[in-house]
Amino acid sequence: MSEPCTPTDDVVVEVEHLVKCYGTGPVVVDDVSFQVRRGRTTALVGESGAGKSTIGAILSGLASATSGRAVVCGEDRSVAARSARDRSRRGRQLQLVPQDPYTTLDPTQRVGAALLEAAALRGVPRDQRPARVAELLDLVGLGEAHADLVPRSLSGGQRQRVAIARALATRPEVLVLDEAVSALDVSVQAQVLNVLNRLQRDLGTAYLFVTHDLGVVRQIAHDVVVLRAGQVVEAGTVDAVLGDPQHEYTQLLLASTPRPGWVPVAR
Amino acid sequence: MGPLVEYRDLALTIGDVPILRGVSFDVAAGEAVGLVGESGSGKSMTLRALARLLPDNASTTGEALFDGTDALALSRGRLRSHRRGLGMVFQDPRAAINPMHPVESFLVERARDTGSDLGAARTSAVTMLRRMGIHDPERRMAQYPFELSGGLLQRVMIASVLMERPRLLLADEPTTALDVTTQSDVLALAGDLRREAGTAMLLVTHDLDLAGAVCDRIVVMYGGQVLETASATDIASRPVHPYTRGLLASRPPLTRRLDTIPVVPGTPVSASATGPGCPFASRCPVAVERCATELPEERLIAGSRVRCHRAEEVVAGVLDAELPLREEEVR
Ligand SMILES: Nc1ncnc2c1ncn2[C@@H]1O[C@H](COP(=O)(O)OP(=O)(O)OP(=O)(O)O)[C@@H](O)[C@H]1O
Ligand SMILES: Nc1ncnc2c1ncn2[C@@H]1O[C@H](COP(=O)(O)OP(=O)(O)OP(=O)(O)O)[C@@H](O)[C@H]1O
Ligand code: SF4
Ligand SMILES: [Mg+2]
Ligand SMILES: [Mg+2]
Repeated sequence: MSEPCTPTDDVVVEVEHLVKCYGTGPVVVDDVSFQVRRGRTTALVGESGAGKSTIGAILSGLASATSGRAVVCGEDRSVAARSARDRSRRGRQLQLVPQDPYTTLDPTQRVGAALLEAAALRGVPRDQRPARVAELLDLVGLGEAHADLVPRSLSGGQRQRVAIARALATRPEVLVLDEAVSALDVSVQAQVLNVLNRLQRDLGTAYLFVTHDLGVVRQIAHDVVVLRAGQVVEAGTVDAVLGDPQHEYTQLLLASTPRPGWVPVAR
Repeated sequence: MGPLVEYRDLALTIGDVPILRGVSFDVAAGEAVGLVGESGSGKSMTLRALARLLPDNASTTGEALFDGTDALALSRGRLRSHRRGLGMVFQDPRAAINPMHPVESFLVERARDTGSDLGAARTSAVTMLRRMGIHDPERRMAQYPFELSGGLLQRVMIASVLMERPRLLLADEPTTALDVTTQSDVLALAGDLRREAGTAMLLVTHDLDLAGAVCDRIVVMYGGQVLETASATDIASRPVHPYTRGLLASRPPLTRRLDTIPVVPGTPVSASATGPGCPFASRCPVAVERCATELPEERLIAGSRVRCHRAEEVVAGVLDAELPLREEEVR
């Protein structure tokens, strides 16, 4: 059911010289370029206001680019989708999971119904939908019993898993996860990170993972892009950037991250 | 001389819902104690009990003593002066600063209230802001709160509190909303000022590594109870309670990618959802039959005050195969 990129494509997201200003405001994404590889994770890190969510919004069609390209599976998304058919195809290629699933899950809709609807919207044949729902719940480590619950009756981690399950209903090529584990308790965050890593191994989904937590980057990402005030200050593999950071801002971020034996220092 | 802060078997219910179930620990003069645990474990309620900043329908048993005085037994009139001896910093500084007045007015408020020298208060505010890493204090003091970022405003808040050289600082997630670089700055600078003034601190945070870095001792809470109390170094290097081990292990390490992060199954439970036994029993990988029915007593084992029926076995290492272990080296 998915809309695969050409099988030879190793790059599923290609962002090139992307620029964004909201209205007549300042430049908040300033000539940003990076890639997300098939079945791999690129982390987008940086502090508040760096432009991380804006890039995620452009890729998922919630915002337009001022200039530059944001190519997903060969299609440039800096140009708004023109028809419902275009939008639906784009939805099958890339899905967004936001920080707070409350904002996207309908509070009155039971989990099972939400997943059925997602499967229907993505063109899963009616007779296959219940099986798809059960499979989705299982994928994210929830049981069939959760299908009858409304979001309010779920814990934060469970809600986030439902949001991930819903996003996966179409087997998209790419998931954009915008601070999707940031609000979770650490014991639950670890569970969700494990689920995401397992899903990637099983399904080959690529992730663009927005976070400000470098420990999370280490556990989930292969490549990392460090943003400051809209600009890329450093990019590379996780081993290179976290193991041997070249830019002083990356070094500062690392030095400021709590870990065993850490001591806070003032600049 | 007794401890500066002493919680004695504090229990709290809101309406009919149990929130805290017998919290006991203390804070010595000048000492920094970190209150750590996941969402809903009762950290904020414990901290707030000391200032009696509790919901109207809260009822309590036990004691929350500051300087020998039980905040929960005070008359309304005496409560005001009791609170004045405490410095308080919360996650959101905007909720605590009047948006209609410039920052300066907030900083000299106490001097104005007590009729002390305003010029001196102003000078001392400028010094404190500078020491909190604000480079242009005069300009900032003339600005309104909305003109300052969250990070700057939290520096102002902490400066205003430490200016009074309180004997105790109550800090509830004071840096959680800040960027990591700002957090590091604020913690370092506030730590220096606090130690110089001999101010003790009760710090609420969900980040065990952060608490370990700025506190002398750590109190680990779960489901409205204290499960382990130990020095920050002991908690980091040889945690005893299975929940503490789980908390440490599930933090994603910075230095190495793991195949699977060791996890505590399930989700945190609130005090109202725990049975008569160990509150952690439903998630504990080494729970035995009695855990569900028998509340473990708090005992002193290997330097930790810990509530666990199997603490000796944990210390002896015989449960290591079943308990999550933190992967990262501890220096
Ligand atoms: N809809 C909008 N209209 C105007 N400005 C916006 C809008 N959304 C974001 N901005 C501005 O764009 C800049 C980048 O914001 P963005 O949300 O992309 O940052 P971020 O890296 O996701 O930060 P955070 O870590 O705080 O989520 C900020 O200065 C922000 O104020
Ligand atoms: N005003 C209130 N009325 C009813 N219940 C409340 C109220 N405030 C808090 N609670 C409940 O009391 C319990 C403990 O809350 P508390 O705020 O102390 O938790 P916490 O450990 O500080 O968590 P967090 O890390 O999320 O701040 C929670 O289950 C919470 O839902
Ligand atoms: S008392 Fe039992 S359930 Fe509780 S932590 Fe110890 S072993 Fe686990
Ligand atoms: Mg964002
Ligand atoms: Mg709290």
